[in-house]
Amino acid sequence: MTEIDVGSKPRLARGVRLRLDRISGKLLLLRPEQGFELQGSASEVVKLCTAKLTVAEIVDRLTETYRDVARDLIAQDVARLLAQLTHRGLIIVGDEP
Amino acid sequence: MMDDDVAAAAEVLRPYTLVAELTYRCPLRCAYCSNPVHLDAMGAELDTAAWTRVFGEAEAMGVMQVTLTGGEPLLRPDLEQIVRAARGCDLYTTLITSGIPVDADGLARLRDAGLEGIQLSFQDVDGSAAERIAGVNALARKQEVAGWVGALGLPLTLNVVLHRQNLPRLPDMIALAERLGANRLELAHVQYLGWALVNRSHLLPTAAMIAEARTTVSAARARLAGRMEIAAVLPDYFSDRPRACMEGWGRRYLVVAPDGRVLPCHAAHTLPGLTFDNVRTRALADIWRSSPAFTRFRGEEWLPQPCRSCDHRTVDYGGCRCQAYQLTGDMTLTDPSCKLSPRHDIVELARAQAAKTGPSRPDWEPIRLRRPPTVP
Repeated sequence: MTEIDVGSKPRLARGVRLRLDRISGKLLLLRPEQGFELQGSASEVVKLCTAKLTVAEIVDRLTETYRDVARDLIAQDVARLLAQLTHRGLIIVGDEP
Repeated sequence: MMDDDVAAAAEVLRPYTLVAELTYRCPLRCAYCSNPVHLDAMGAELDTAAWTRVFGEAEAMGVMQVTLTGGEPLLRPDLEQIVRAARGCDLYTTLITSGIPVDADGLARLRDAGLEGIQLSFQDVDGSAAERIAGVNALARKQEVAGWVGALGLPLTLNVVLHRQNLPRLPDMIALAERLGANRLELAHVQYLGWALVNRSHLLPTAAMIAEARTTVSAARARLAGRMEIAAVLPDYFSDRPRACMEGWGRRYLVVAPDGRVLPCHAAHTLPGLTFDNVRTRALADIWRSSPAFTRFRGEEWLPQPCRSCDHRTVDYGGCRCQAYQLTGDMTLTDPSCKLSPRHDIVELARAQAAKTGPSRPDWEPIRLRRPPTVP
């Protein structure tokens, strides 16, 4: 597994799909036989994981959305979330395993 | 506040996964098959239009995932249209297959129709042992199919049903899944129902084998985190607590059988006195919400003691109804795999017998369907 750093461009792993749950209004990450509901700002982060933006750029975008939150704090949250999602194989950087 | 409570209650009653059993027909005859032991009484299979309607109804109820399974779903000549219909409803669409009746082009067509993931079953990493379980030697074929799945860019889940005969090769199974580039490995122990209960004395492992398997799995999980997920279900006969069968009766899953009957779990047709409504004659949402089969064991009203006063009732929902019935003859009792069950002695006896019989028997021949189910 390639480690994520601020220069990485995270994306959804193979077979992972972001889909709106029309009943709850929340976004889910779906993969074979599993669904993960994204809580709070997690969905904002995941929507930006398109392989086009670096982690630093994702944090920049989020500072525009959450103007009253310090950038450092947002960066920490993003790093923690991406670490969890990559650990579960939902988000990847680099080649498919 | 009131509205929130209502919303929460409605949320509990919402299905997330539709298990679409497209056919009971299968080229394999596994010794632990969950198909009905008596296949003769089955009605005709639902056609493409009926499945298309079922997918639409399911999606409207909040279902997010559909697993196309069987039997062997590849035996349906209209599988491509069925995949297209499921994906057309925005359902996450997965195929559970033996991989036998398909070629690389056929698989590519299914992907192009919208298939999003494939779960491929392996019986064993040893060809002759696999043949003994499945009645067919398909190991080389399955490895070839796994290669096609990867080449098509589809996520691959390997599923291996574990039992005493193949548990010693667990490390090799993990290595095979890695070599084939699987995203997920499901190590699901045999559930001792139906054919598996008939063959239990040769399938149930010993406690020592289970302990070793646990160690192997946790080491592999740590090593493969982020690359390959490993889901492991060890036998409830050794867990002291029952498994939360289907995550609770009528809570998360809908199973539509090949003939259109709607079941809370794929084995529920083995329970006596339950009648199942059919999608041909009743709306899926209506069946889910209020059919007698779905309400029979939903919630806590029906719970027997000791479940009713047990803190675990919200974790395991009293365990598996089919197991309670098949082991005790009474489907309303606590699952005997629970150490608090008054009938836990049944499971203890089976464990003791397994310990006496010892590890694996290369000369063992399972009792199975003598002929494959006929094509309707």
